[in-house]
Amino acid sequence: MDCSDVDQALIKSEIPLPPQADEHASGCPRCQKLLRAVNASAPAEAPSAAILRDIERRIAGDLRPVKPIHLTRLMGALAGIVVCAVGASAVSVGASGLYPGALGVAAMNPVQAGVIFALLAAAAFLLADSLARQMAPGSRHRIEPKILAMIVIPVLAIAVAALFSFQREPNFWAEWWYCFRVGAPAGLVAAALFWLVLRRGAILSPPAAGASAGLLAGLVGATTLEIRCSNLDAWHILLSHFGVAMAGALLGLLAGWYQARHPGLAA
Amino acid sequence: MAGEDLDRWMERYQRADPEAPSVLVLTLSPQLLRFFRSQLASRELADDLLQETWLRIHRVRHTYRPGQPVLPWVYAIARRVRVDSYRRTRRISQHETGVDVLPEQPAQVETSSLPAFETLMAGLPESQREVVTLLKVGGLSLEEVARATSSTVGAVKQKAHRAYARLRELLEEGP
Repeated sequence: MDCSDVDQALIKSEIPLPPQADEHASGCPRCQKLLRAVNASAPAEAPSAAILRDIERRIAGDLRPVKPIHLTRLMGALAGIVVCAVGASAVSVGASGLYPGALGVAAMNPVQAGVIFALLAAAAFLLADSLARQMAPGSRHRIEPKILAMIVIPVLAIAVAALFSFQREPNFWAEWWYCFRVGAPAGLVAAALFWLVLRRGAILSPPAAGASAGLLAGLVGATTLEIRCSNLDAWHILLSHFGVAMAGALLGLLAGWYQARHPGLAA
Repeated sequence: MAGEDLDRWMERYQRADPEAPSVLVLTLSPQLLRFFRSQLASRELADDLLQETWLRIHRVRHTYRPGQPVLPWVYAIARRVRVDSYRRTRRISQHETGVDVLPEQPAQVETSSLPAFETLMAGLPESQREVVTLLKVGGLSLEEVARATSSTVGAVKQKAHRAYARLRELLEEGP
């Protein structure tokens, strides 16, 4: 037993200390000093009665029943938006004649298609789950929202780099713009629908929620392009198809950042 | 009051039981006030933050999920109120013009008037201070702190471990 065991007991809020940690602490001046300091019984300050009365009065004046949010339903709503938005945009892009048929799916081999669409589905699931949890403060997160928003694009980029070859295309930027302007509107429509769902919750970190929602909306656009676009150049997929997702994440982050600095707009 | 009781009162609050807000306000306000004081807020600011927290809690009470622990939900909102207040204060101070005579101390920090625990906490970085405060003042478990801070238990443990290591250093450096 040493000082770190006492630290561990403090971290786990084990009061009183476990016997072995207590035995160490009784013979260790450093631990005694720390325990005395953190357990110092500072006189607890009570909130003034007038303030408490004022709080109660203001709450009582607006007391009516509310329906608690339901995580599974929120998750279902977000996932439903993703599926519907991808389906609708893939159909409308086909109908508009920009990309006749599911050329992207047809051009990919089964491994490429399987891995890319599985990763897109997994990313969409995790982001929708994270967003639903961000709407309910105090929820347990599978992955920290900030970290999740940061790792999705690198993981997809690694998969693209491993599955597709990098080529030099003469019309790279023209093709980039062609796909980007097809994918971006799909993302914008999805983002608007996500916003309608998100405003029902209490978003406590608007930048993280904005980046997550923007990224998820961008992935809707990217998935549409993966279905429709037959260009399998890795650069094109990364910068054009997933560029829509990156742009979505960035715009969402900026929108969240703006909202965080204007708290009156937040829930 | 036990955590399960708080959960039940919170559910009654959602159903608009007129007794529930009073019980919750009276039970949770002292520890919320101490949470804000431990985050170096002056008494006046802590009182404002307390009021703002309850109004925010009331506005978003539908986001509490029955069956889930109340404390992480409450502290997650309190944290957000504190951050918003900090940003607002900073924005105002950035827009203020210079004055001939500067105040002796920043208005928000009254270190000398803080009790021992709070004074000790002042020596920690903000994220570590928050974790230790939630563990010691809020009485939250590691899992609950992770929920309140949208973090993971591992990350909370790491911050708490670093905080206690730093506290040992501070105590050895101290008078």
